[in-house]
Amino acid sequence: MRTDFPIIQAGKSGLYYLVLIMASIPFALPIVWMASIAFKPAEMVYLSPPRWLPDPPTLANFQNAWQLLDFPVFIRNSLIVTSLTMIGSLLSSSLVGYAFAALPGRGKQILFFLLMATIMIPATVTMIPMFIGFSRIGWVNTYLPLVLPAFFTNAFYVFLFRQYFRTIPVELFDSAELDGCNPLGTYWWIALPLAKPALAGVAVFAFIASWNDFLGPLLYLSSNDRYTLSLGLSLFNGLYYTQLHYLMPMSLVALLPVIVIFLLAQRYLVQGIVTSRNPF
Amino acid sequence: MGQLGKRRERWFYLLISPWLVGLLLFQIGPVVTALGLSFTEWHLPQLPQFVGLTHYQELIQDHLFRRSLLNTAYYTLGTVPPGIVIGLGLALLVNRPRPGISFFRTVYFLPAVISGVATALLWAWMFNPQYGMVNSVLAQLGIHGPAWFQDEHWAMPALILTGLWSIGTNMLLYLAALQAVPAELVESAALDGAGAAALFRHVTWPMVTPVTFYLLVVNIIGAFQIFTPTYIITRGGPNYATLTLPLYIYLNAFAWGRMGYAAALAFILFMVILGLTLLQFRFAKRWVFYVGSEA
Repeated sequence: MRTDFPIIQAGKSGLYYLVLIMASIPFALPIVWMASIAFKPAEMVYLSPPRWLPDPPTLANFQNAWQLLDFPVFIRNSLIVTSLTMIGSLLSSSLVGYAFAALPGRGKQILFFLLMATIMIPATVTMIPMFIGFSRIGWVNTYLPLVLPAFFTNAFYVFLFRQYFRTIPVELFDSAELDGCNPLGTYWWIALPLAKPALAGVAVFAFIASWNDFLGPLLYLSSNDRYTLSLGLSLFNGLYYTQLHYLMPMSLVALLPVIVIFLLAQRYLVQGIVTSRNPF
Repeated sequence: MGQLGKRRERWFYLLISPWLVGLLLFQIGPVVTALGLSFTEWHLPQLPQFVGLTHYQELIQDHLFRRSLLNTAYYTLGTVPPGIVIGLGLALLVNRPRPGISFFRTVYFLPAVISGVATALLWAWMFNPQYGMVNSVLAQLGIHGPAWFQDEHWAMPALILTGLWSIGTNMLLYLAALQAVPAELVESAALDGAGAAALFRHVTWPMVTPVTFYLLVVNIIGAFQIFTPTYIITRGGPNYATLTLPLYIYLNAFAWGRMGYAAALAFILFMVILGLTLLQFRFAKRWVFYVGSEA
């Protein structure tokens, strides 16, 4: 191991932080700018060249945008869709993941390979027949087409759970079964309480995916009072194209829950991924 | 296998039944239906008419199909390899624990959790020639910036930069892999006198090739499904410069009512993705290193 003089070490460390800061500029600056627009007086948004800081900062954009479109309704709708999707994903994917990790089955390898292969099926291919099917049974403009598929698992989440359950000693499950639990009971009473990091990881992924989903709501939701936040935001585009001073504050509002969830679950997220490694 | 084994096997099939049902209803079923639809002409509310291979003959001649396929390939080449390099670079940068490091990890990852709609609207404004930040910064460096999304030649680069902004997931997965590299391995290599470059080539890189392979496969599949930013920002313009295949499929199916043709296009997209993925698996053995197997 080499050791440097303190002065060289300090210089290296300073250089290192300089690189970190330089690298963060393209990632952070657009978000800072988004916030700056949100707090700017409306007429300041459309200045050329653009100004960096709101002068004076104001909450008027938030108030106006909030009233202009039914944002509380959009937020409520997003919360309904997102929470149901999360529940469905957690229940179904953990159950199937447990079966793949802990139970014997003929053809299990092939079935697991098939599960992973479904990652390749693009949503663009399935969306046309699924749209036709869901409209035949009259489910257009309901949340069912957005929520129901979550209750039938997602390959990536199943994979995460399966990898996680494989790190738990099998003897634990076996002894529960010897004590008279059936595999469903073992899954519910023994395996699930031990899988908190995986549950947290999948909860975050499912939350982000559903909260931010655009194509699904775009296809299936047709009346304004059913719109989710993502779809509602896109209303500002076209209808109110130049009204960026409404768009940015609401984007910021849409961003908040995602950031909070991410910060809360950050530790679990990395841990969940480390234990799962990757599928191939 | 005894009585108990048979019973547990029945439980296995029972417990995976939600997946099996979903597989039939939401995956295999729709794919087969899409293939069937691609052989029909269907104008709602009439019944579908069988037209054989007409749509496939049509798409060979369709210059918009060719254009959208090329655009999608352009986008994929523009986002996937740089996205992997940047993802690995950032992960190496924030791998070792130091004061304030989790702040920087969060900053690099944050754009990845922002909704596609908000990202698209934000970057449409960033790249606005008059009011946008990008050209304003370029002007201060003495560069006269292009019109980005309003310019046929710069719209796709702008779309690619918008896509690269959300690269945080790659960083996170690389970070997880780097954290799993055994410290003894790095230490013993350093004791053997390996420099930073040699350490990367002989220790770090082989350890992250499985993640690299995974990211290549998943990112290419994702890039070929690029939809939200083109739909929100450009609707495929200007002059079809950002018309991607998923957008073209969406427009055919839901704006122009050509379900059958859209299904044929979607099936081609599926075949392209399938082909690219199989090709990568074919060549994986040559460069992907798994612990416990021969290099």
